[in-house]
Amino acid sequence: MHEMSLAMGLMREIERQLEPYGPEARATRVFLEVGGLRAVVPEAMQLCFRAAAQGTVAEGAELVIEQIAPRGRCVGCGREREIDHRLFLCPDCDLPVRLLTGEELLLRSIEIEEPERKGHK
Amino acid sequence: MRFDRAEAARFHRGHGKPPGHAHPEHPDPAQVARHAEVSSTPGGPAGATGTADDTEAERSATGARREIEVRFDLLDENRRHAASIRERLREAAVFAVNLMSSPGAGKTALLEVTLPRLGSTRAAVLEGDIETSADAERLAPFGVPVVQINTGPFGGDCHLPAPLVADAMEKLPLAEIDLLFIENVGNLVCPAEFDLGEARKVVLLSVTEGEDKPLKYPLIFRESSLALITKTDLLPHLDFDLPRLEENLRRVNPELKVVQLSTRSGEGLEEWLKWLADERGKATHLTE
Repeated sequence: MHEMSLAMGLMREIERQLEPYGPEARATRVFLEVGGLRAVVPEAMQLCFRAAAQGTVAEGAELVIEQIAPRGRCVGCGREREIDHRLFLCPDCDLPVRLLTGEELLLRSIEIEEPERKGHK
Repeated sequence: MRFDRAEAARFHRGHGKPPGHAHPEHPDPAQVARHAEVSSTPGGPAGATGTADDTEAERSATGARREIEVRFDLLDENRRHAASIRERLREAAVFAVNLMSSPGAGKTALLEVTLPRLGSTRAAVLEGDIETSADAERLAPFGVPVVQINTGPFGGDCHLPAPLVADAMEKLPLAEIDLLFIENVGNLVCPAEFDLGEARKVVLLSVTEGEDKPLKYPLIFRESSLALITKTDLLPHLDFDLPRLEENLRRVNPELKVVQLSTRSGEGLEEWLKWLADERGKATHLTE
Protein backbone atom coordinates (compact mmCIF):
# COMPACT_ATOMS: atom_id res chain seq x y z
CA MET A 1 0.00 0.00 0.00
CA HIS A 2 1.49 3.26 -1.13
CA GLU A 3 -1.58 5.43 -0.64
CA MET A 4 0.01 7.03 2.45
CA SER A 5 3.08 8.22 0.52
CA LEU A 6 0.73 9.58 -2.14
CA ALA A 7 -1.48 11.29 0.45
CA MET A 8 1.55 12.92 2.08
CA GLY A 9 2.80 14.17 -1.28
CA LEU A 10 -0.70 15.43 -2.00
CA MET A 11 -0.75 17.33 1.29
CA ARG A 12 2.61 18.98 0.57
CA GLU A 13 1.26 20.27 -2.72
CA ILE A 14 -2.03 21.48 -1.19
CA GLU A 15 -0.11 23.45 1.45
CA ARG A 16 2.13 24.90 -1.26
CA GLN A 17 -0.89 25.88 -3.36
CA LEU A 18 -2.64 27.55 -0.45
CA GLU A 19 0.34 29.57 0.78
CA PRO A 20 -0.35 32.64 -1.39
CA TYR A 21 -3.87 32.86 0.03
CA GLY A 22 -2.67 33.60 3.54
CA PRO A 23 -2.57 31.66 6.78
CA GLU A 24 -6.34 31.49 7.21
CA ALA A 25 -7.19 29.94 3.86
CA ARG A 26 -8.43 26.36 4.05
CA ALA A 27 -8.93 23.59 1.52
CA THR A 28 -12.54 22.41 1.67
CA ARG A 29 -12.60 19.99 -1.27
CA VAL A 30 -9.80 18.28 -3.15
CA PHE A 31 -10.36 16.84 -6.62
CA LEU A 32 -8.19 13.92 -7.64
CA GLU A 33 -8.09 12.07 -10.97
CA VAL A 34 -7.02 8.44 -10.69
CA GLY A 35 -6.52 6.25 -13.76
CA GLY A 36 -7.91 2.72 -13.71
CA LEU A 37 -4.44 1.26 -14.20
CA ARG A 38 -3.03 2.96 -11.11
CA ALA A 39 -2.88 0.66 -8.14
CA VAL A 40 -4.77 3.10 -5.95
CA VAL A 41 -7.65 1.84 -3.84
CA PRO A 42 -10.13 4.70 -3.34
CA GLU A 43 -11.12 3.61 0.19
CA ALA A 44 -7.46 3.40 1.26
CA MET A 45 -6.77 6.76 -0.35
CA GLN A 46 -9.68 8.34 1.57
CA LEU A 47 -8.39 6.92 4.85
CA CYS A 48 -4.82 8.07 4.23
CA PHE A 49 -6.01 11.48 3.06
CA ARG A 50 -7.88 12.02 6.33
CA ALA A 51 -4.84 10.93 8.36
CA ALA A 52 -2.36 13.03 6.39
CA ALA A 53 -4.66 16.07 6.47
CA GLN A 54 -4.61 16.29 10.27
CA GLY A 55 -3.08 19.55 11.38
CA THR A 56 -2.84 20.89 7.82
CA VAL A 57 -4.85 23.42 5.84
CA ALA A 58 -6.84 20.48 4.44
CA GLU A 59 -8.00 19.06 7.75
CA GLY A 60 -11.64 18.05 7.38
CA ALA A 61 -11.61 18.61 3.62
CA GLU A 62 -13.54 16.29 1.33
CA LEU A 63 -11.53 14.21 -1.11
CA VAL A 64 -13.34 13.71 -4.41
CA ILE A 65 -11.83 10.91 -6.49
CA GLU A 66 -12.67 10.70 -10.17
CA GLN A 67 -11.69 7.34 -11.66
CA ILE A 68 -10.59 7.44 -15.29
CA ALA A 69 -11.22 4.37 -17.43
CA PRO A 70 -8.24 3.09 -19.41
CA ARG A 71 -8.52 3.77 -23.16
CA GLY A 72 -6.07 2.97 -25.92
CA ARG A 73 -5.49 3.15 -29.66
CA CYS A 74 -4.23 0.26 -31.80
CA VAL A 75 -0.91 1.00 -33.50
CA GLY A 76 -2.21 -0.87 -36.59
CA CYS A 77 -5.83 0.03 -37.33
CA GLY A 78 -5.89 3.13 -35.16
CA ARG A 79 -9.17 2.16 -33.57
CA GLU A 80 -9.73 3.65 -30.14
CA ARG A 81 -11.43 1.59 -27.47
CA GLU A 82 -11.74 1.07 -23.75
CA ILE A 83 -9.20 -1.42 -22.43
CA ASP A 84 -11.21 -4.05 -20.64
CA HIS A 85 -9.99 -7.32 -19.20
CA ARG A 86 -6.42 -5.99 -19.30
CA LEU A 87 -6.22 -6.55 -23.02
CA PHE A 88 -3.46 -4.38 -24.44
CA LEU A 89 -3.64 -6.24 -27.75
CA CYS A 90 -6.00 -5.14 -30.51
CA PRO A 91 -8.62 -7.91 -30.93
CA ASP A 92 -8.73 -7.19 -34.69
CA CYS A 93 -5.02 -6.79 -35.55
CA ASP A 94 -3.27 -8.58 -32.65
CA LEU A 95 -1.01 -5.52 -32.43
CA PRO A 96 -0.13 -3.46 -29.32
CA VAL A 97 -2.60 -0.86 -28.09
CA ARG A 98 -1.01 2.43 -27.05
CA LEU A 99 -2.48 3.85 -23.90
CA LEU A 100 -4.36 7.17 -24.08
CA THR A 101 -5.84 7.34 -20.58
CA GLY A 102 -5.77 5.28 -17.42
CA GLU A 103 -2.45 6.22 -15.86
CA GLU A 104 -3.54 9.52 -14.31
CA LEU A 105 -2.63 10.40 -10.75
CA LEU A 106 -3.48 14.04 -10.78
CA LEU A 107 -4.44 16.65 -8.23
CA ARG A 108 -6.79 18.48 -10.59
CA SER A 109 -8.11 21.30 -8.42
CA ILE A 110 -8.70 22.47 -4.89
CA GLU A 111 -11.74 24.24 -3.53
CA ILE A 112 -10.44 26.81 -1.12
CA GLU A 113 -12.14 28.98 1.40
CA GLU A 114 -10.78 32.35 2.37
CA PRO A 115 -12.17 34.24 5.32
CA GLU A 116 -13.61 37.63 4.39
CA ARG A 117 -11.23 40.38 5.25
CA LYS A 118 -12.16 43.16 7.65
CA GLY A 119 -13.69 46.12 5.86
CA HIS A 120 -14.09 44.13 2.69
CA LYS A 121 -17.69 43.45 1.79
CA MET B 1 2.16 1.13 7.52
CA ARG B 2 2.75 3.36 10.49
CA PHE B 3 1.64 6.91 10.72
CA ASP B 4 1.33 9.18 13.69
CA ARG B 5 0.94 12.82 14.48
CA ALA B 6 4.60 13.22 15.44
CA GLU B 7 5.57 12.03 12.00
CA ALA B 8 3.03 14.30 10.39
CA ALA B 9 4.43 17.24 12.33
CA ARG B 10 8.00 16.39 11.33
CA PHE B 11 6.77 16.00 7.79
CA HIS B 12 5.13 19.38 7.66
CA ARG B 13 7.96 21.17 9.38
CA GLY B 14 10.53 22.46 7.01
CA HIS B 15 7.91 22.91 4.37
CA GLY B 16 8.40 26.65 4.46
CA LYS B 17 5.14 27.48 6.08
CA PRO B 18 5.05 31.17 7.04
CA PRO B 19 5.56 31.81 10.76
CA GLY B 20 2.41 32.34 12.75
CA HIS B 21 0.37 29.96 10.65
CA ALA B 22 -2.51 28.93 12.89
CA HIS B 23 -3.66 25.35 12.79
CA PRO B 24 -7.41 24.93 12.47
CA GLU B 25 -7.71 22.86 15.63
CA HIS B 26 -6.63 25.83 17.75
CA PRO B 27 -8.67 28.77 16.51
CA ASP B 28 -8.12 32.07 18.21
CA PRO B 29 -11.47 32.74 19.96
CA ALA B 30 -11.15 36.48 19.46
CA GLN B 31 -10.59 36.01 15.79
CA VAL B 32 -13.58 33.68 15.51
CA ALA B 33 -15.81 36.20 17.22
CA ARG B 34 -14.58 39.00 14.96
CA HIS B 35 -15.42 36.91 11.92
CA ALA B 36 -18.89 36.30 13.25
CA GLU B 37 -19.44 40.07 13.43
CA VAL B 38 -18.35 40.79 9.88
CA SER B 39 -20.15 37.77 8.45
CA SER B 40 -22.46 38.89 5.71
CA THR B 41 -23.35 35.56 4.15
CA PRO B 42 -27.13 35.51 3.94
CA GLY B 43 -28.64 32.50 5.63
CA GLY B 44 -25.26 31.14 6.57
CA PRO B 45 -25.08 28.34 9.12
CA ALA B 46 -23.18 30.54 11.58
CA GLY B 47 -26.03 32.98 11.61
CA ALA B 48 -28.43 30.14 12.20
CA THR B 49 -26.55 28.56 15.07
CA GLY B 50 -25.16 31.77 16.44
CA THR B 51 -22.31 30.05 18.28
CA ALA B 52 -18.90 31.63 17.93
CA ASP B 53 -17.08 28.47 18.96
CA ASP B 54 -18.54 26.35 16.15
CA THR B 55 -15.48 26.51 13.90
CA GLU B 56 -16.92 24.35 11.12
CA ALA B 57 -20.00 26.49 10.72
CA GLU B 58 -17.97 29.63 11.29
CA ARG B 59 -15.59 28.80 8.48
CA SER B 60 -18.26 28.08 5.91
CA ALA B 61 -20.24 31.11 6.95
CA THR B 62 -17.48 33.69 6.71
CA GLY B 63 -15.44 32.27 3.90
CA ALA B 64 -15.62 32.84 0.20
CA ARG B 65 -15.20 29.56 -1.61
CA ARG B 66 -13.64 29.09 -4.98
CA GLU B 67 -11.96 26.34 -6.90
CA ILE B 68 -8.37 26.72 -8.01
CA GLU B 69 -7.00 24.71 -10.93
CA VAL B 70 -3.80 22.85 -9.99
CA ARG B 71 -3.09 19.91 -12.34
CA PHE B 72 -0.28 18.51 -10.20
CA ASP B 73 0.89 14.99 -10.93
CA LEU B 74 1.34 13.17 -7.61
CA LEU B 75 4.29 11.23 -8.94
CA ASP B 76 6.13 14.38 -10.05
CA GLU B 77 8.22 14.71 -6.91
CA ASN B 78 9.40 11.11 -7.17
CA ARG B 79 10.02 11.66 -10.88
CA ARG B 80 12.24 14.67 -10.20
CA HIS B 81 14.39 12.62 -7.81
CA ALA B 82 14.48 9.77 -10.35
CA ALA B 83 15.66 12.17 -13.05
CA SER B 84 18.55 13.35 -10.91
CA ILE B 85 19.51 9.72 -10.10
CA ARG B 86 19.41 8.92 -13.82
CA GLU B 87 21.74 11.85 -14.50
CA ARG B 88 24.21 10.77 -11.80
CA LEU B 89 24.22 7.20 -13.12
CA ARG B 90 24.75 8.43 -16.67
CA GLU B 91 27.71 10.60 -15.61
CA ALA B 92 29.25 7.67 -13.73
CA ALA B 93 28.47 5.28 -16.63
CA VAL B 94 26.55 2.94 -14.32
CA PHE B 95 23.82 0.72 -15.78
CA ALA B 96 21.06 0.27 -13.18
CA VAL B 97 18.49 -2.53 -13.10
CA ASN B 98 15.45 -2.38 -10.84
CA LEU B 99 14.46 -5.92 -9.77
CA MET B 100 10.82 -6.26 -8.77
CA SER B 101 8.66 -9.22 -7.70
CA SER B 102 6.43 -10.62 -4.97
CA PRO B 103 8.23 -11.56 -1.75
CA GLY B 104 9.98 -14.87 -2.26
CA ALA B 105 10.01 -14.99 -6.07
CA GLY B 106 13.80 -15.22 -6.05
CA LYS B 107 15.32 -11.75 -6.42
CA THR B 108 18.10 -12.37 -3.91
CA ALA B 109 18.64 -15.93 -5.23
CA LEU B 110 19.03 -14.45 -8.72
CA LEU B 111 21.69 -12.06 -7.43
CA GLU B 112 23.48 -14.92 -5.68
CA VAL B 113 23.94 -16.73 -8.99
CA THR B 114 24.50 -13.58 -11.04
CA LEU B 115 27.16 -11.76 -8.99
CA PRO B 116 29.86 -14.48 -9.37
CA ARG B 117 29.25 -14.67 -13.15
CA LEU B 118 29.78 -11.05 -14.17
CA GLY B 119 33.43 -11.36 -15.14
CA SER B 120 35.13 -7.98 -15.29
CA THR B 121 31.85 -6.10 -14.83
CA ARG B 122 31.93 -4.40 -11.44
CA ALA B 123 28.56 -4.65 -9.69
CA ALA B 124 26.92 -3.20 -6.60
CA VAL B 125 23.56 -3.82 -4.94
CA LEU B 126 20.99 -1.61 -3.24
CA GLU B 127 18.94 -3.95 -1.11
CA GLY B 128 15.40 -2.76 -0.30
CA ASP B 129 13.36 -4.30 2.51
CA ILE B 130 10.87 -3.03 5.05
CA GLU B 131 12.93 -4.49 7.90
CA THR B 132 16.13 -6.50 8.53
CA SER B 133 19.44 -6.61 6.72
CA ALA B 134 19.11 -10.37 6.09
CA ASP B 135 19.37 -10.03 2.31
CA ALA B 136 22.41 -7.75 2.48
CA GLU B 137 24.06 -10.37 4.71
CA ARG B 138 23.28 -13.08 2.15
CA LEU B 139 25.12 -11.05 -0.48
CA ALA B 140 28.08 -10.09 1.72
CA PRO B 141 30.23 -13.12 0.68
CA PHE B 142 30.32 -11.91 -2.94
CA GLY B 143 32.58 -9.00 -2.11
CA VAL B 144 30.55 -6.35 -3.95
CA PRO B 145 29.33 -3.13 -2.32
CA VAL B 146 25.88 -3.73 -0.81
CA VAL B 147 23.82 -1.00 0.80
CA GLN B 148 20.72 -2.01 2.74
CA ILE B 149 17.71 0.32 2.57
CA ASN B 150 15.02 -0.27 5.18
CA THR B 151 11.77 1.54 4.57
CA GLY B 152 10.51 0.69 8.08
CA PRO B 153 11.63 3.98 9.64
CA PHE B 154 9.90 5.85 6.77
CA GLY B 155 6.38 4.58 7.46
CA GLY B 156 7.06 1.00 6.34
CA ASP B 157 6.77 1.80 2.65
CA CYS B 158 6.04 -1.26 0.54
CA HIS B 159 8.27 -0.03 -2.28
CA LEU B 160 11.48 1.94 -2.73
CA PRO B 161 10.85 5.61 -3.45
CA ALA B 162 13.44 7.57 -5.44
CA PRO B 163 14.57 9.86 -2.57
CA LEU B 164 15.63 6.85 -0.45
CA VAL B 165 17.53 5.39 -3.40
CA ALA B 166 19.26 8.73 -3.98
CA ASP B 167 20.40 8.81 -0.34
CA ALA B 168 21.61 5.20 -0.44
CA MET B 169 23.56 5.86 -3.63
CA GLU B 170 25.69 8.34 -1.70
CA LYS B 171 27.18 5.35 0.12
CA LEU B 172 28.28 3.66 -3.11
CA PRO B 173 31.57 4.29 -4.92
CA LEU B 174 29.80 5.02 -8.22
CA ALA B 175 33.06 5.71 -10.06
CA GLU B 176 34.15 2.12 -9.40
CA ILE B 177 30.87 0.48 -10.51
CA ASP B 178 29.55 -0.58 -13.93
CA LEU B 179 26.32 -2.28 -12.96
CA LEU B 180 23.91 -1.49 -10.14
CA PHE B 181 21.16 -3.86 -9.06
CA ILE B 182 18.34 -2.28 -7.10
CA GLU B 183 16.45 -5.04 -5.32
CA ASN B 184 13.06 -3.53 -4.63
CA VAL B 185 10.80 -4.36 -1.69
CA GLY B 186 8.92 -7.61 -2.41
CA ASN B 187 5.53 -6.51 -3.78
CA LEU B 188 3.82 -6.81 -7.17
CA VAL B 189 1.85 -3.59 -6.83
CA CYS B 190 3.54 -0.49 -5.50
CA PRO B 191 7.13 -0.74 -6.84
CA ALA B 192 5.71 -0.43 -10.36
CA GLU B 193 4.48 3.09 -9.59
CA PHE B 194 7.83 4.58 -8.61
CA ASP B 195 10.54 5.41 -11.12
CA LEU B 196 13.96 5.03 -9.45
CA GLY B 197 16.05 6.42 -12.28
CA GLU B 198 17.02 2.90 -13.37
CA ALA B 199 17.87 2.02 -16.98
CA ARG B 200 15.69 -1.11 -17.03
CA LYS B 201 12.96 -2.63 -14.89
CA VAL B 202 12.91 -6.41 -14.55
CA VAL B 203 9.99 -8.32 -13.04
CA LEU B 204 10.38 -11.82 -11.61
CA LEU B 205 7.42 -14.17 -11.36
CA SER B 206 7.86 -17.63 -9.88
CA VAL B 207 5.88 -20.56 -11.25
CA THR B 208 4.27 -21.13 -7.84
CA GLU B 209 2.47 -17.79 -8.06
CA GLY B 210 -0.04 -18.59 -10.82
CA GLU B 211 -0.60 -17.76 -14.49
CA ASP B 212 -3.15 -15.03 -13.79
CA LYS B 213 -0.76 -12.59 -12.10
CA PRO B 214 -0.09 -10.44 -15.20
CA LEU B 215 -3.83 -9.80 -15.53
CA LYS B 216 -4.23 -9.07 -11.83
CA TYR B 217 -1.19 -6.80 -11.56
CA PRO B 218 -0.78 -5.41 -15.08
CA LEU B 219 1.18 -2.26 -14.25
CA ILE B 220 4.37 -4.00 -13.08
CA PHE B 221 4.41 -6.13 -16.25
CA ARG B 222 3.72 -3.11 -18.43
CA GLU B 223 6.55 -1.10 -16.88
CA SER B 224 9.15 -3.87 -17.23
CA SER B 225 11.42 -4.65 -20.18
CA LEU B 226 12.07 -8.23 -19.11
CA ALA B 227 10.07 -10.84 -17.20
CA LEU B 228 11.98 -13.70 -15.61
CA ILE B 229 9.82 -16.76 -14.95
CA THR B 230 11.64 -18.23 -11.97
CA LYS B 231 11.80 -21.59 -10.20
CA THR B 232 11.09 -23.48 -13.45
CA ASP B 233 12.78 -26.55 -11.90
CA LEU B 234 9.52 -26.93 -9.90
CA LEU B 235 7.34 -27.22 -13.02
CA PRO B 236 7.14 -31.06 -12.97
CA HIS B 237 5.51 -30.83 -9.54
CA LEU B 238 2.92 -28.20 -10.43
CA ASP B 239 -0.19 -27.79 -12.60
CA PHE B 240 1.28 -24.61 -13.96
CA ASP B 241 0.13 -23.61 -17.45
CA LEU B 242 3.24 -21.95 -18.90
CA PRO B 243 1.74 -21.17 -22.35
CA ARG B 244 -1.19 -19.47 -20.65
CA LEU B 245 1.17 -17.33 -18.55
CA GLU B 246 3.06 -16.33 -21.69
CA GLU B 247 -0.20 -15.42 -23.42
CA ASN B 248 -1.27 -13.34 -20.40
CA LEU B 249 2.09 -11.55 -20.39
CA ARG B 250 1.70 -10.78 -24.10
CA ARG B 251 -1.83 -9.47 -23.52
CA VAL B 252 -0.73 -6.88 -20.97
CA ASN B 253 2.61 -6.04 -22.62
CA PRO B 254 3.14 -7.30 -26.17
CA GLU B 255 6.72 -5.96 -26.13
CA LEU B 256 7.87 -7.68 -22.92
CA LYS B 257 10.78 -10.10 -23.30
CA VAL B 258 10.29 -13.33 -21.33
CA VAL B 259 13.04 -15.66 -20.05
CA GLN B 260 12.46 -18.88 -18.12
CA LEU B 261 14.96 -19.31 -15.35
CA SER B 262 15.96 -21.66 -12.59
CA THR B 263 18.80 -20.74 -10.24
CA ARG B 264 18.93 -24.46 -9.25
CA SER B 265 19.17 -26.09 -12.66
CA GLY B 266 20.84 -23.10 -14.30
CA GLU B 267 18.16 -22.92 -17.00
CA GLY B 268 17.98 -19.47 -18.59
CA LEU B 269 21.00 -18.16 -16.72
CA GLU B 270 23.07 -17.62 -19.87
CA GLU B 271 20.14 -15.90 -21.56
CA TRP B 272 19.68 -13.58 -18.56
CA LEU B 273 23.38 -12.70 -18.44
CA LYS B 274 23.38 -12.07 -22.20
CA TRP B 275 20.34 -9.81 -21.86
CA LEU B 276 22.14 -7.85 -19.12
CA ALA B 277 25.28 -7.44 -21.22
CA ASP B 278 23.35 -6.52 -24.39
CA GLU B 279 21.12 -3.97 -22.69
CA ARG B 280 24.06 -2.43 -20.89
CA GLY B 281 25.87 -2.21 -24.22
CA LYS B 282 22.88 -0.43 -25.79
CA ALA B 283 22.65 2.04 -22.94
CA THR B 284 26.38 2.79 -22.93
CA HIS B 285 26.35 3.15 -26.69
CA LEU B 286 23.53 5.69 -26.45
CA THR B 287 25.38 7.92 -24.02
CA GLU B 288 28.64 7.97 -25.91
